[in-house]
Amino acid sequence: MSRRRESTTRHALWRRSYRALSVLLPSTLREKHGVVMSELYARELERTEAHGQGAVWRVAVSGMADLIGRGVYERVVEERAALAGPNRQHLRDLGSAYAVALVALTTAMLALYARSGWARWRMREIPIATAFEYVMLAIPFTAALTIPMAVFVAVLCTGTRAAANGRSPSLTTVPSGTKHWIFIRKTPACCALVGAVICTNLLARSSPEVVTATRNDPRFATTVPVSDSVPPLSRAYSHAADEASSTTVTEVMTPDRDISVGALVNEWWEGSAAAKLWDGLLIFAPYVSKT
Amino acid sequence: MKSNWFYILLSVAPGPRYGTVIQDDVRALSDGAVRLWPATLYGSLEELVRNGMIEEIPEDERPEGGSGRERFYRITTQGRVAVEKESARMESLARVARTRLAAPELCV
Repeated sequence: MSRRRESTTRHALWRRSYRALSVLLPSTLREKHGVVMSELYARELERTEAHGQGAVWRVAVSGMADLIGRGVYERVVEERAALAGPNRQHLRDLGSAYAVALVALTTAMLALYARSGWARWRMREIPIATAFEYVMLAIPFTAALTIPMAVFVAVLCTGTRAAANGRSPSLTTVPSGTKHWIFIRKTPACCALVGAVICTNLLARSSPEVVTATRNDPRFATTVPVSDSVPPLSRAYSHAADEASSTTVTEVMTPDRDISVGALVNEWWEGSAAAKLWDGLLIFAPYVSKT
Repeated sequence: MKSNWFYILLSVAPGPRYGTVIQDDVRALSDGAVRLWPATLYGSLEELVRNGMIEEIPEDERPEGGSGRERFYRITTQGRVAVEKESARMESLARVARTRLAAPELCV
């Protein structure tokens, strides 16, 4: 009698564990068949009891493994069904746009770096292979920096194209009669905004001569050691740091608070998280200013 | 066709059946070689319903017997055609295999 009770308790434990694990299954399947499944599992355990505890354990573990495997399978099927048709096409478009944007931006940044460093490398009689190595070493860092911008560009391009073709799911909320082409206008507007923000920050730091000439006031210009202005991450690159330590860069500093729009935008930009990311790009600033 | 599907379709081919009976029947049909664990059994049943090979019998048409909570399934025309096609394919495969195995050994 006590043995029977012990067996039932153990089965109850297995059954409870099985029911707990059934959360792995999609809710529709669980709600429809969850109770029957655990009953069937318990029945399997009871049937195996006569073959000893080893067999019970084997059946219990096999049932659990089946539940886990099936749960994963059902989830994958569910996800694939959700991604069917237009959604999958959107993802594919996004992926290809992202790849193109990442490659294009990284290549452009590397070309800029190589162009700015070329004269200096020639002057120091650095072999071509070493110069090539400099550029190769800059690839991971440059690619990492361009990821956010590539994502932005890809989303913008894909979204705009989908909206223009009337394939965007968000268009279902657009009032009828709205022309799809109006979404295209957002692209140049956003690009212009991003470009303006980048220019007010990056250009001011990288080409002080331009800024000084624009403002026509040389008092704004002051010289600071580049080792203080280059962010710590860039110093991790020994090649870049070696070159940077031997040079200086002119930074623009304003003695009083400037309340012009450009200055306000710049102030906002300085405090934002995106600015920290873009600061990494300033590794190239010394090279740009040198040329 | 997955072997699970094939055996489940064979099990429900003669008439409507519910989960536990299907499980026992499949084990008997395969001489114990195929053991449908609960998650696989009910997952496969749902897949077959989604694919239109079997259908769940509405509550008011359910056969007598059982506790009344069981969900009965029956084969559809599409399911029957699929089983026939699969049987023909397996038959042809078995015929080829038997012919090849019965042929005298050749040196190439």
